[in-house]
Amino acid sequence: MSAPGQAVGEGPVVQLRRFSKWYGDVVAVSDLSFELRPGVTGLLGPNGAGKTTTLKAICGLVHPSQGEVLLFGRPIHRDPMLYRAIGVVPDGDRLYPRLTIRSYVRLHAELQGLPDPGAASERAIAEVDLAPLAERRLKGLSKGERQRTKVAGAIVHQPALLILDEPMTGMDPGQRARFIELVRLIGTAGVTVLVSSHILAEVERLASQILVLVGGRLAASGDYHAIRDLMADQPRTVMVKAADVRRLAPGLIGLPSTVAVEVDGDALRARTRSVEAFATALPRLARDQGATLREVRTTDESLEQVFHYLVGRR
Amino acid sequence: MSNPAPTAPAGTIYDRGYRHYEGPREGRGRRVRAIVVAGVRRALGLKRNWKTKVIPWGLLVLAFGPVFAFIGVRVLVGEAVGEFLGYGRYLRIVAGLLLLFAATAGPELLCPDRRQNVLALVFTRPVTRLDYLLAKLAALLLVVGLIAVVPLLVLFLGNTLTADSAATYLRENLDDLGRILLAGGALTVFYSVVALAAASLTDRRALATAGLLGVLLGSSALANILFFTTRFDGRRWFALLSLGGAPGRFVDWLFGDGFDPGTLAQQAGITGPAYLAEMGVVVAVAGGVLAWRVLRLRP
Repeated sequence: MSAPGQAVGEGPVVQLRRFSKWYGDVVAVSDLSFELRPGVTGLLGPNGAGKTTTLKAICGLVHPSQGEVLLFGRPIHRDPMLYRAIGVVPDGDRLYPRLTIRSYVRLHAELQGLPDPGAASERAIAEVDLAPLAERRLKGLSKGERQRTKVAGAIVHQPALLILDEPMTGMDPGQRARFIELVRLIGTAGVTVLVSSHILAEVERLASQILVLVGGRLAASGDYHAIRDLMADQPRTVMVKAADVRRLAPGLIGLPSTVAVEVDGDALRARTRSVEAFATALPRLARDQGATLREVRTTDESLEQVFHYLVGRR
Repeated sequence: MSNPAPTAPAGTIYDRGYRHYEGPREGRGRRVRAIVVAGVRRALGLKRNWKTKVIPWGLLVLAFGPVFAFIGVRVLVGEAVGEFLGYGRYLRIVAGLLLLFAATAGPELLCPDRRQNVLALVFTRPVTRLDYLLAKLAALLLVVGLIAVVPLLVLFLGNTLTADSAATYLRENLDDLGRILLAGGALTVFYSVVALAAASLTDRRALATAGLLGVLLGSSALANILFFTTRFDGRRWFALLSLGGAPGRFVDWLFGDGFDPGTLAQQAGITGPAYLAEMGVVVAVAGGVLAWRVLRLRP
């Protein structure tokens, strides 16, 4: 659902404006500003970076020490009805152990005031593949099953904003794959999804938009490929496969932007500060040296590489 | 010549994709009711294993058992059996059960939510802290009222139906019905609010239960020690220090049952309204503590 007074796509769903939070002398988050729009966004950061504080502020569970946090243009701590549009999966084991999956999800449907909580909870349980276990008590479930139960409770009212804090903890690879598919589907449907995770490979599959927090500050935001492009001082690795790849090495090392060249069999790895200059020069060199190019690709475009760069440069 | 009827499509693909829910929602009452129902179930151990049922259902059996036994005797013997199970006397007995029941059910309602870290799940739903507080209080009032009021109503009904003339009994004892509701209501509110206040101070159920019993019973012991070991004119007011004794003394006064000879209550000579006022002050203070603790809960 869209929040009251704002249609989906009308404006940013979440806005943090110069948000700071401190506990006594400890600054958890400092001067954080960003916006979230529909689609999936990954929230990344090392331990202690302020991810949980930021998520709690968006959920209205902590009040800003400074700045403001707006959901659908309104501060959530003054408007609990905004929770009708929000689904939250907090970190850790936050469940009533003696409830069954069905009664737990139904309770959340009732707390959301859904007119048919039974049907809504059955749909949510099915979406996280827990229908066969619906009558099992939560205390007997595996960690992955408990996580999926929490997700079912968070999506039972089909929210417009979904906040997931480490949602895939404990899931096996098959469950993770299905869960990623579900989150992508939800994001594609116009829901704003914010996923915090420390497993970068999963975030990479979930979201192209990322927010990186380091030391309580925003280190980067946006499409991580674009962020990678902005890391101009960080040489990129280009792998070249060619019939006579050794012939290319002298020419490539002579380029001003090339940092290093390494030949391994029929493959060559070049470290360059300008992929563009490299890409312009390579075909000419190959023609001059009579080398037939078979494959050219960058190999360090991963989110993990971007993340480690951002964390390491502070 | 008429046009041919449009033919139904040979197949349809349904879009089962995720959609936002934009339909109607029920109001605040439904949300609060969901927490109340969950609370009542938890307090009574419903839909849980047998171990969680032992204390609440054991106390319920103790509360209702004598009532049904007495009514059975009246059915067999008739009104000749008299009223050896008077309402006031019975409520005095039940007050002890109420204390135990509230001391276990109150912490059961509040403590696990904090201990099991589920508050973040509750408060990220359209539920305010006030809703949460009122729902928990309503749940405890319901289950404590089940012991404080319902057995006496059953007893009154039984006495009426087994009397030689039900109409006469009803006419002559209608005042008792009012007393049952007043005394039962007062005890229900007193024990429920005090038990939840104790539970709001810790996330450990056993600690809350022990603390509540310790304060209520300990205060009675302290009041007795102070009254019987001191000699000055105003020492009678020490009787009001007995927080655990106030409900029973109010009940005795309300039903016209005299205080037991030689006891602090009998020697202090303080009457029922003072004990009712004392209960009111305790409820107000406990309610303040409860509200202060719950309304500023941070998951």
